[in-house]
Amino acid sequence: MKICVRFVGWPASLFGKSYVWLFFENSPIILRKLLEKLELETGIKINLKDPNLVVLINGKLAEFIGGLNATLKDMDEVIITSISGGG
Amino acid sequence: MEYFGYAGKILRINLNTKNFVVEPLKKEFIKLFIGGRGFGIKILWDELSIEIDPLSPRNKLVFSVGPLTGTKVQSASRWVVQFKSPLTGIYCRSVGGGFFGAELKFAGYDAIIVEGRAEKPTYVWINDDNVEFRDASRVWGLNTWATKEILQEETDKRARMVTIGPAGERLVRISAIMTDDSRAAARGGGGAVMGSKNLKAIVVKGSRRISIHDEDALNEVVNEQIKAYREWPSTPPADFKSLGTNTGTYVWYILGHFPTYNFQQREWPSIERFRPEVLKTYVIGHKGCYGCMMQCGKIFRVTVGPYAGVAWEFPELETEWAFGGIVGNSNIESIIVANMLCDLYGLDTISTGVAIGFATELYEKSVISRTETDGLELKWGDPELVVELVRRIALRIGNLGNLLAEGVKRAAELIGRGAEKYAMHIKGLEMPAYDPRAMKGQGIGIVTSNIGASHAVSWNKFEILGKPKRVDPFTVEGKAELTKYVQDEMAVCETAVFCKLIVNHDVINPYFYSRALYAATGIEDFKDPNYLWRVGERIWNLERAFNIREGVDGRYDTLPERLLNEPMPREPAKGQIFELEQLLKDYYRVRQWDERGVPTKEKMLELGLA
Repeated sequence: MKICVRFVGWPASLFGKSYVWLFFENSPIILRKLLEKLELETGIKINLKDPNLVVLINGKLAEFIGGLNATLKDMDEVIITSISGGG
Repeated sequence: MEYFGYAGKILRINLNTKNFVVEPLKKEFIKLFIGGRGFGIKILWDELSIEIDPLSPRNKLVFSVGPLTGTKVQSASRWVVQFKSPLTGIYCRSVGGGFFGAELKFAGYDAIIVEGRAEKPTYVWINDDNVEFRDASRVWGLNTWATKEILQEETDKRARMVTIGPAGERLVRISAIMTDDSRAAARGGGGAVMGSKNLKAIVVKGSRRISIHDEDALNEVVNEQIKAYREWPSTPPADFKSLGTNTGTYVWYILGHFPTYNFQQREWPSIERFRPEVLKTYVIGHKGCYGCMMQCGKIFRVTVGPYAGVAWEFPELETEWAFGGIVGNSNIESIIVANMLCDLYGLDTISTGVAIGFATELYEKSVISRTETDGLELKWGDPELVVELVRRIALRIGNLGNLLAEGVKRAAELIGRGAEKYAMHIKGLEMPAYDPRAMKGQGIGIVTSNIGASHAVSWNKFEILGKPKRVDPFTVEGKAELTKYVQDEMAVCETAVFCKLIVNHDVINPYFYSRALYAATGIEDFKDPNYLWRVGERIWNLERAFNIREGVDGRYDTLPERLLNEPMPREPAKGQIFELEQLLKDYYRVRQWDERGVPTKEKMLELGLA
C-alpha cells in the first residue's frame, strides 16, 4: 500500500520537500502508524495536537475522523499543512 | 474635557453649503460605543431617515478611527466607513487600511461625517484645523493613482487620502473607496455614495500627537504584542508574514469551502498553481499599514505574457478567488492585472468577480446570448475576458458592463428568465469565498451578517483556523454560540479598527484590547473585557435594528437557491447540505431575538438601546 504525504506552507520548509511517498505492507493502516513511519524516514515528529498544524486525510481534518486512529487505505492523500491567511 | 487616546473631535462636513462644524466627542458616546464602527452605526441610526435613496444627498458617510489609532499599538490604525448601501439598501460598514486612518487622527479627528451633495466635483482638504472645499474638476475622471499624484501636488506631498476612481464617479454600485496606497474599503458601493455627492476625495494631513493616559502600561502591552508577533515560529504570523492572506488560497480549496465556477463547485485542478510555493515566486516586495509590523501586503510582479511589466500590490485571497476560482481562471498574471484595475478604477474585487461568474454561467446556460454580451463570448477560465469585463464594469461600457455594474441582484432582476437562480448574493451583497455547505458556522455567520454576504464581520476562526480551539466545520451543534462570539468580537475590535486578520488569528481579542484601551484612555469601564464584549453585542444589535427599520428582517437571512437545494458536489464536503432552518433557530435563540430575527425589546433595553 502506498500513501502520498504532501506538505503545504511552512511544513514544506520544515520537511524540505513538498511530498513524500510512504509504503506499507499492510492495508488499511491507522494515522498513528503513518506518522511513526514519517518520523522514521524524515526525523521529524508530527504532533496532532500542535495548534499550528493540521493533518488532512483526503481533505478532511484528521482530528474529526478518528484522530490518530483514523483509517488510511491505498492511495489516500495526506496533507500536513498550516492554516493561515484568510480573506 | 481632556481626552486620552481620542482626538476628541468629530468633523461634520456639509457639501451643499461648503461649511464644516467641529463637534466635541461626548463622554457617554465614548463609553457606549468606544470608537470606529461603534461611532458610525450610532451616528447613522440617529441621523439617517428611513427609506432614503442611498444615492441621494440625504445619505451620509461616516469615516471613523479608534482610540488606539496612531498610537504604538500594532495593527490598530485601520479606518472604517459606514453608510446606507446603494447596492443592498441596508447598512454597510467597510474597512480600509493604509495610512489614512492615522493621518486623520493626527489631524485631530476621531470621525468625519459627510453630508449633502456638492454642486460640482469637489475634494475636501483637511490640514489640522484648516478645512477647505476645493475644485476637483482637474482630477474628475482620473484613476485613483493619478488622482493621488495630482492632489498631493496641490496639497502636501505627504498627505494621505481616500478617493474614488471612475467607477465611483459613474455610480457603479459595486465601486470602492480607495486610499492613496491602494487599500480599499470596497464592499457595499461606498464609492458610488461618494460619487453621488460629487466628492472625489478627502485629503488629510495632520501634525498632532495623541495623549496617552498611562504610557508605561501601554508600552508594556505593546511589548507583549510585539513579542507575540515575533515569537510564533511557524504559522501566524510567520507564514502570514511571508505571503499574507495568499497563504490560505490552496488550503481553502483542499478543505472544500473555496467555491468554484459560480459556486457550482466543480473540480478545479488548476488550484495547484496557487500553492504557496508558487505564489511566493511572484513576490518582489512587502508593504503594510501604519503601525503594523506584519507587512502582510506584497508586491507581485508579472514578467511573462501579455501583461509583462506590471508590478502591483498583490491580489488578496478573496481577489485571487474572485478572478480565479469562481470564474475558473488560473492565469495568475491576469488576476494581478484585474486586481490592479480594480484598485485604479475603484471597484470591489469580490463583487466584480462574482458578477463575472454570474454572467458566465448565464451564458453557459443560454439564459443570455451574445447579443446581450456586446458580442463577447463568455467562457470559464478566460483570462482576457476577466480583465476586459473589469474594465467594462468600471466604466459602464456596453449592455453587459452596465448591467453588471448594478450588482448581481439587480442584474438578475433586470434580465429575468430565471437569472435569479445564478445570482450569488445575500441581501444584495455578492458572496465571498466560503461555501456555507462546507463550513456551517461560517455559513450562518455570512447569512446573518448585517451588511449582506460578508465573511469579514463574522469570520469563524474556530472552524477555519482552529483558534482559540478547533471545531468540526461540518457539524451544526454549538455553531450559533460560536457565530455570536466571533460577530460580537469583531464588532468591538472594529471600534479600535484593529486589523481583522490579526483578530482572526486570535492574537488580538477583547482581553488584549481591554488592557490596551484602559492604558491609552484611562476610562475605568474599559478595564473589564466583559464590558467590551457587551459593546460588541450592542453594536451588532444596533446594526440589525437599522436594517429592520428598513424592512429587512429574518426573511432575508437566507442563501441563494443553489446553496439551499443542492448538496455539495465536491470532496471533502461532498453530500453536505446547509441546515438553514436549524442554524437560524439556534442563532436567534442565542441572540435572544424573536422568531422573525428581531431583537426583543428586553434585549434592546438590556443593551441600553431602547
